[in-house]
Amino acid sequence: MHSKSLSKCFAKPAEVFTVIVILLLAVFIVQMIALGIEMIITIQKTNEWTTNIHKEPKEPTLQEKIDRSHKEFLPDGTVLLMYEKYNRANRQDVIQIHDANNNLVWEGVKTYDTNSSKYLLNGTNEAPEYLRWNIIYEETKYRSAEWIQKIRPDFSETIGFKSNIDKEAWQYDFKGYFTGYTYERQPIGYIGLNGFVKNKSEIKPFGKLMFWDHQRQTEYEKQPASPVIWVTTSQVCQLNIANRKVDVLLNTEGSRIKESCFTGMSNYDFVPVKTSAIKYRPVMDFVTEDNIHHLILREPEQTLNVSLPNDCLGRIDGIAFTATENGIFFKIILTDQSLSPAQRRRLWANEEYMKKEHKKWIGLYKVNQNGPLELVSRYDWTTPAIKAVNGENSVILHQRCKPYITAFSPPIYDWVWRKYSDYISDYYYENSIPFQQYLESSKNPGLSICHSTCLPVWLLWVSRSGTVWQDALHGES
Amino acid sequence: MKFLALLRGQLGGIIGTGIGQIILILGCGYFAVTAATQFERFSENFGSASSPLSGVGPLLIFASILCGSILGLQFWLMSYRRTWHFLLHRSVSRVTILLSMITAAVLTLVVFTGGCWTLLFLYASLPGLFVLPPTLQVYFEGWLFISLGLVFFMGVALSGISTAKFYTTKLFGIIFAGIILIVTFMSLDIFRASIVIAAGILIPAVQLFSVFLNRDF
Repeated sequence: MHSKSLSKCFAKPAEVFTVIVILLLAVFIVQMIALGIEMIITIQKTNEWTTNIHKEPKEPTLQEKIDRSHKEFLPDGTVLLMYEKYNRANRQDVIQIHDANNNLVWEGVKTYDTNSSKYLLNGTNEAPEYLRWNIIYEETKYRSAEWIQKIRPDFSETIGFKSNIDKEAWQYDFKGYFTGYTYERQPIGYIGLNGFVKNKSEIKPFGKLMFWDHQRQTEYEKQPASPVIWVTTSQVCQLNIANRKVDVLLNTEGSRIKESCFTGMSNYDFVPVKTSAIKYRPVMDFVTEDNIHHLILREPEQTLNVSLPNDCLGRIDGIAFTATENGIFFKIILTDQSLSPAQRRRLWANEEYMKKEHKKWIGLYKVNQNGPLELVSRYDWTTPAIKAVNGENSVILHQRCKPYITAFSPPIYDWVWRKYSDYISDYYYENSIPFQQYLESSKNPGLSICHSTCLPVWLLWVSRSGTVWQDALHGES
Repeated sequence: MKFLALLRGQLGGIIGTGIGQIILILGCGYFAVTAATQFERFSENFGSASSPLSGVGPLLIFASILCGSILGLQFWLMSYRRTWHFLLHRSVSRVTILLSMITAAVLTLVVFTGGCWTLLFLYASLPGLFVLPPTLQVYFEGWLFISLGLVFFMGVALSGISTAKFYTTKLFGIIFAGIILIVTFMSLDIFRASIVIAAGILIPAVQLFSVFLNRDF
């Protein structure tokens, strides 16, 4: 074939591809703008906060109050319902604790203690000492290997350890091991799964890194360099680089770790373990793909596997573990409807689910070393259906807008919605509150539209590397 | 020989851009690296840390895109000045002329921008300057940033020789390069970013060759 014809042969598809990509981007931007405008209208029209900014919100019904309450347990299994409401007059978070029969047990306010970075409950008498739980900390993902290796304008990050005392540095190579050298760049050796070795040929690499986290609680705080929990796809190790020591805490034999929760061991632990009258044990929970919870406990050292019954797997609305000197417990919230993990993650956008009344129950279980799970306590309640026009419900208006926004391209819209709606709502509710209040007070719809037009462009820009979110969460590199 | 003669001519015209690159990258880059030595934190024992060359990254992207765009602008200028006929009315094939222009652009980016980047990387890797030296991955990422210059060169050149109207598809080459820039930083890792950039170079390059060979400008 002639070179000119050949070039045309390839050029036409390339041209078509270019045009399609650019047109799809245009649709993407239009849909983002429409989504931004829709969110502002939704909030202004349906949210009592914006329509009745100076009025107290309507008192919820008893059923709504119960549904919104945190369900907590005393160590003996007694259920407590913790209802939190914001008092606008005093600008305080008021906490009411009721028992299962709706009798008021305690009332006070929640304050944030900046010294301890913890929320404290203040009232005329002491708040009941309920069990505290481990929580999945989202920050962990900012210490994930994927995040650190992500290409960004200021280059990807590196994981390293520096000791000013020994004048040595260790740098993680994403092939799976640490390389050590002195400050003068003289080689020291390598640290891998088999600990410290002098030669590279002897090194046994860690598995593929998922994330790492510090542990600085209890006795580990006394050590000069705090150990690090190093989580790979199938191993959990405790690294003490200063001492060149590696302890393998868990090996899941190839089953991939998908979730983890720390309590009493993490630097980001907001649970007031030290001030509590209940003696807690540090506990880490690693959930593998086969839905087994692998618990690693301290004081004393213990490992435990917990398997949940298969029939409850699709209905779990939340699970958390804790360990005290009296036993290991977990609380689990179950619903009467089985939803896929993806549906459950985006429950608030699932109109069919939200519109129906559904039953939930929370159970407190005691975990025995070799015996079956022991149900200590249980509490049932009904989640009310979300009404069509509800101050906190933006789902209905969103559903009405959807046909218009998706007119150009439903697949792109789905992608935008899936990928960016969380960013938009997070940004709107958390980052732009002063500006939002200004918009609401100015009653200038033009300015609101301008704001919602700029928002998607700004979101596109910040989400290209995500450094803004990282800085906001950590305030560190 | 004809190709080399054409290439020499092209390089002679863009040597100023290359010198500008050296001044911009080495000058500002040196200050960025020196500043990073002051801010390297010794307090945290274990943690993730920005690369010592993090200040150079945005500079490298800016310089590469600027260089690529300036080199691509010659296609616009020749269209506006209507001087294509003088260049094409020679005893050399169109492919040779286009290849010489592309080679000149690649050489400018590789030698001047890439050379400066390599020098800065080697400087930052010197013992005693940083406790944690820049990794090899950062060096490759730098080269990816430099290749963004080539993406913009292709995009600007394609727009330059397009005979379409401004309000139709003439600027699609530049917009496409902009999309590649955004998608590169949305890619998770260096491998996926490399694929995106390779596509960003190849897709406009194919169109550029076709337009050039078929006298569609």
